[in-house]
Amino acid sequence: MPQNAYIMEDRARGLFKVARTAFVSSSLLALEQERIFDRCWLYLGHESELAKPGDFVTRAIAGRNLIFNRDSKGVVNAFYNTCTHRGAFVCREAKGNSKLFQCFYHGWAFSNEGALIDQPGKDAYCEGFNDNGASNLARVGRLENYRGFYFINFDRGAIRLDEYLGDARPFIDLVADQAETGMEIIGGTQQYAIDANWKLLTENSIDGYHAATTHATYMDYLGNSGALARVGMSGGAHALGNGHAVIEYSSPWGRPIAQWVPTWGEAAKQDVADIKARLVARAGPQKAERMSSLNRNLLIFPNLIINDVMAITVRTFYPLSPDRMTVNAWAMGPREENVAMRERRLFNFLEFLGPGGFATPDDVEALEMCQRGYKNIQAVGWNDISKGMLREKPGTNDESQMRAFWRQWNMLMTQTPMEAAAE
Amino acid sequence: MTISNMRTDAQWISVSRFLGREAALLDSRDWDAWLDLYTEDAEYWVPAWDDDGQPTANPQREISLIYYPNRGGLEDRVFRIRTGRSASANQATRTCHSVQLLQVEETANGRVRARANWNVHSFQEGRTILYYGWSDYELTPDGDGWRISKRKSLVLNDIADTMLDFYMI
Repeated sequence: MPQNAYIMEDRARGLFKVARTAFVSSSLLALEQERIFDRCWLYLGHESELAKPGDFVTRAIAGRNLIFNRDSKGVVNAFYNTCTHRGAFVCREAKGNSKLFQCFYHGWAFSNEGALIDQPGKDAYCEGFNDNGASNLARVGRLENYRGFYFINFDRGAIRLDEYLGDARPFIDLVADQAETGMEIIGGTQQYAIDANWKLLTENSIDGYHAATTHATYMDYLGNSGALARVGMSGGAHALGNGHAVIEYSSPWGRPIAQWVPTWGEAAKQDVADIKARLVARAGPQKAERMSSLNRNLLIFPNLIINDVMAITVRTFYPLSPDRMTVNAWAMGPREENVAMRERRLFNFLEFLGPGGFATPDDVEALEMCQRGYKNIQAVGWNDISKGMLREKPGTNDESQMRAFWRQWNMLMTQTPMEAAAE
Repeated sequence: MTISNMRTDAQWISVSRFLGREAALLDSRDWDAWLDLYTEDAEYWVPAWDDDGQPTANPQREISLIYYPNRGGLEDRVFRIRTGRSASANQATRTCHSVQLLQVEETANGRVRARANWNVHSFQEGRTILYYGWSDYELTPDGDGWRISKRKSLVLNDIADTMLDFYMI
């Protein structure tokens, strides 16, 4: 079978294998940092987290500590959280509002636009000490946003964000357009750690194949409680270029925008109908139908997941070592959402998602068991990701969306494109 | 000793005994008896942490780790364990609850509010997970003892290691 470093692919027979060394090797993790995390656009945060001038949050992204803020002029920035004097954090809080970031060590102070504005004992420094701005807070090479989703890139020479997102943009639109007044990150973060390689979560987040087995109890539970609409799970998978991919499918669970289920009660029917009617008026009947009745699990390469399912979750994750990652997950909803629907959204979110949910722990268990299974790598060295490879229209339960991820990953890691033919 | 002190001491002992019973039932995985400690309308809430280092304050408007407005949610969780089809719930987790009662305060209608600190070691598939935190209970008198009408548990670890379920806190 033709092999390109970490992938074996036989298009004629429809076989696709990934080397398990990709999940266990420390040297590959270092190479991923250099060739993927230091080169790709990475999600930093959402505009709704910086509602007012002065608002900031601090985030750890790909091993760096960053400040994501809106300055007093309203401009959004991404700074490295390190004093240009000796290096200490200039911002120790995770979230807040400030006109200035002051290092507590020697007292250097920076405006929220990053400019060095005060050094105690300034007369002891030479004339024009910071004329070239080298002692201002350092900015991350690139910061751009698409529909309120802010991304950074450590590579100044990277292609533009909108070009990078490419065909994934319309799928981000399908989330952003759900609100009349803008989408917002809902208060609270679910942070959890998983003893597994980060790419296992990338795969899992867009995997339609595992739902029936791994999440059997979730389905049983929904079925028993009457939380199901009379809709089956079916749909398709699409590679979106640059390693991005999506699965889009119908489902039997309730969707705040806008699929009613019996557990919500008769009273909610009107609420759902109103939301749907407003959506139709804004987006037109066809797009409104797609937005309300179809779920989308969207991967923005390499590690941003926007899953528009029974609720919307935005999730990123970074490796700590080949076999451990930390995950940050947020919930998102329309700013104008009414109290009752927000409550249903949050109930749906918690029911399925997060370390205390009915589904995420089963996913985590599966990922950790895979990682443990890789201890047997010397006997069994390859994963199989061939499902549906010869199908003209791959389904949600096939694996073409994961092959799209792996081809891009392999291309970046080996710096050689794979056979160009699209699947 | 005054009469009133004797009464509060008796209450302290009775609440302490009751919380001990909850811990023992969880450790011995006696789910039905455990569920029976809760009233049907018991609220069970485990807040999440927000970016600002504060726990979320409103389960209707913000994210939690677990939130149920009544006991039905806990019954669903027990159901899930019993199906044997949840990979994360069907392994035999061994747990050890250490619970320390800190405060008991009387509220209306004979109810009390109790604060307890806990740490729970769970042994699961070859490793030990430690969750620690405190819980605020609202206890409603029931015959000679109590039933739980509210339990809010703050898990002080801000990163959940792998998973978190009611028997691990």
